[in-house]
Amino acid sequence: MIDRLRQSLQRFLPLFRRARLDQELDAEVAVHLDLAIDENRENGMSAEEARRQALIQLGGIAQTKENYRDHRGIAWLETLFRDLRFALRMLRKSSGFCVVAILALALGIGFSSIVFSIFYNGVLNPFPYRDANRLRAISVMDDRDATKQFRPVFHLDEIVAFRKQNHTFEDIVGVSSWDVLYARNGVTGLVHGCVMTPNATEFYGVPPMLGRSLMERDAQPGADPVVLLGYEYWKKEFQQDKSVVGKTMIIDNQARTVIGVMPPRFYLFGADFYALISGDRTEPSMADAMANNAPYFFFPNGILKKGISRDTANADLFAIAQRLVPLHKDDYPEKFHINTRGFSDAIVGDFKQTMFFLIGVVALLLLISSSNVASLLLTHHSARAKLIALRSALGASRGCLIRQLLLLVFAGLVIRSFIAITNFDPGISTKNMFVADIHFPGHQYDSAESKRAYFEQALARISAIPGVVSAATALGWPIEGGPRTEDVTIPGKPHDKHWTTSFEACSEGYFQTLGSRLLRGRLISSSDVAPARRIAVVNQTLSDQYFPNQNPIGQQIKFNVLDQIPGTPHDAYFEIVGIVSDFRNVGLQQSVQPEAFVPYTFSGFGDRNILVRTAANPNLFVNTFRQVLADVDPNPILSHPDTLEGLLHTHEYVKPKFRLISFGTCAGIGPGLALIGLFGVMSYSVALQTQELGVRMALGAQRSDILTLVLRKGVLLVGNGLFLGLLVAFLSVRILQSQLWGVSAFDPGAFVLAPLALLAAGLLACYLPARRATRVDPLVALRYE
Amino acid sequence: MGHTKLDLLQGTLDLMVLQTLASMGPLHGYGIARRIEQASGDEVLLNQGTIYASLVRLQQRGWISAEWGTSDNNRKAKFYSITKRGRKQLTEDAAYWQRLSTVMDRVLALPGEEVEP
Repeated sequence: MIDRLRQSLQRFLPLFRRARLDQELDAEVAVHLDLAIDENRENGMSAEEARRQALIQLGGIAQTKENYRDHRGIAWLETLFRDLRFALRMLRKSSGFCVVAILALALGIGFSSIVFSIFYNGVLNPFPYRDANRLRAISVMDDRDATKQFRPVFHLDEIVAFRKQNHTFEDIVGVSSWDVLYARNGVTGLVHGCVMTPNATEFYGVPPMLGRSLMERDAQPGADPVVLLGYEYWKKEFQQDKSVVGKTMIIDNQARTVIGVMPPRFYLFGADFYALISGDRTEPSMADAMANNAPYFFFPNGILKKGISRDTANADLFAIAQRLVPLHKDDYPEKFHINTRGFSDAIVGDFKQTMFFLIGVVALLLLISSSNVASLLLTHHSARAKLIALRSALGASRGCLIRQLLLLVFAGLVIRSFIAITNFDPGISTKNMFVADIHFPGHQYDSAESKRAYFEQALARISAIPGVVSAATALGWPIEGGPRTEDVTIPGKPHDKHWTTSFEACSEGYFQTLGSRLLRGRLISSSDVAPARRIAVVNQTLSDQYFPNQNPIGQQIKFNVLDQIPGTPHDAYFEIVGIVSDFRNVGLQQSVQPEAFVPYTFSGFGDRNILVRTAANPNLFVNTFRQVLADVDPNPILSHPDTLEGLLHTHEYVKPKFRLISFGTCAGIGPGLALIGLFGVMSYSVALQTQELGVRMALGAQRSDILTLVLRKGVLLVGNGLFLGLLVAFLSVRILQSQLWGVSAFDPGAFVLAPLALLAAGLLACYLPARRATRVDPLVALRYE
Repeated sequence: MGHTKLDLLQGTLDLMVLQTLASMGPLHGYGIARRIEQASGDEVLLNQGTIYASLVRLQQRGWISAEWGTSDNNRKAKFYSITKRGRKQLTEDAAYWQRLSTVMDRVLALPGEEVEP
């Protein structure tokens, strides 16, 4: 290979090195003459005669050089033309072969470049930020359960302390999402903003696409309120109108000047717009949160100084955090540590694994396609060493089969996994379920009583709409889960480990709307909701985990997180009155976690959701719902209307679907490639055997004998490859485990179907040449040399 | 010189150069030319200059490689040596020539009046 490369280089180099080569030749000829003269003088010639004879022997200096140059040029042109001619002849002679070979390579190369570009953007270089590889997310970890982060968010004063007192970071920034009202053309909607500490612009180092960046002075007291738009929002809301810069937007009831638009790749928080915040100047709608000292608010990001290890950084921040504990007692576990992790780990997460895996699969695919072409080439024109060629081609196609089987098994598993997720029974019916967010602006609905008054009317009116089966309100989304508490208190049940629980604040129609069954006791009734009675219904899992072999009904439970949220009942115990059947509550892929349901009137805090079970496609009802709700009160805003299936699609199916499509494509291209390879090899093998087959037939062999003979060879090859492939698959399938859900890595379906599919394809690839072999005319075959 | 020297058949010079390098090891152009002349018992008509055309051809095919070195009498000269591929080529070409010459011998050994001097 290297030799070949050097040779082709040498062939082209003369073009560029002509002068040097000429010089070398001059020197060589000069030495030649000198040597000849020396020898002639030793033989007793005079100096003059020696030189004359030397020139005669050489045949003249000019002629030698001329001759040399001719040959140099001719040899070069000659070989070039020879190669070209050969290539063209081969192309013409076997256009089918060429199409197949080019196609095989094109598929392999094309697909791998696509995957690599996804890989590059998704894993290698996912963020456009300055020093993205040193970007770290910071979180508090509870030593009692090291696998879980206690919180990834901090108070602004904590972030300021981290920023000022650390020795290991170049800078630390705090960012948070900020969903606020935006009024335009008389319509008020919710926009998704992102607020950042004033050093953010320099920190992320991404210049805006239009206009100017946010600057520290924009966060100064008395500065004009400004806003920087996100690309997607600018595209959607302003149709990429460049004149938007300088215009005014009424955000959070305040006129703000648009100063610029960020480029598409700047997707921090996926925000519609960006604004600055500082300790001494808070945004109006956040003033409450800040004043109330809302427990968790800002995500800190830091740029690690060069050469600082993770442990050093963790220890550095831990020392600062320890000084912060007295200020925020409830926000730190008894024993904790600070963890810093790469930004891409925090954001890209397990998508990375999928990508690494996919890259591996694509490499496999590329290997298959190139080994295919190699074996095709080998069998195609290596007349000199037919047997060697055939053997290596057979070997290559066995390797190809092994890889192919591996790919098929993997794809089979991924497909089964996707089917398992989409067909999975989450415990409730996901069909015809409308979900939406109700945002309550201002303070009108801060009290539990006002919320009750609103929902009583709203739910009654929605339920009265023809086609609506039932309606309910809740804090979280079904399946995606409600708020969580890291620990519960149950009188008489002290526990070392955290007992986590989701808790849902819902109306009496919740269970009926979702379709979850009562197993024991009773459900939440309207007479619990109105007086906000401290009762709770729990799911089967909570009962099994925290009350094993006990009847939980009548027991008390406290959700400790409530003690930390302003406006929720502190030190509140809820009496368990019923147990309902389990349904998924932390996403489809994770097992059911303990969950408790309490009347939504237990507190007035926060925005709420509505869930409506309809008899037909929920999307048909959106406008009716909007109208009905506006009739109750035009102020609350219905946002993010969707169906539960749509929601699941966004949150649950995207990754499995991505895997399905990518692996599926690989697996789809693969068998085609394997077939090509096998077919080529078998055809050639038959062609080589023509003479032998002719002799056999002349001696009386039947067609069926010939067919068996040829097929046996093919089946042996395929079987061999399949056996080894299965072995490799068994050994390597474990690495796929993390990409699967709901099926075992050793899923018999995949392990039986994939080899069968390949066997069928292999037999087909063998059968066609075998059939041709039976048509060999013995006379022709015998004459064949 | 009693009779005219042999003209070299097409392709034979390359084979001679390869064989010379294979048996003698690295040599400079003059050395190769002299060896061939000596081995042929001064039977071939060799313009020593044509050696260089042959050398460039062989080099481009990757059958020989070249390196500057110092000759016995301390002159800087380009030394050629045969490559692995060159040896392979030599084996094949030599076999071909041997077969051909055997066949020619046999054919020419056929009795016939016309050939009789």
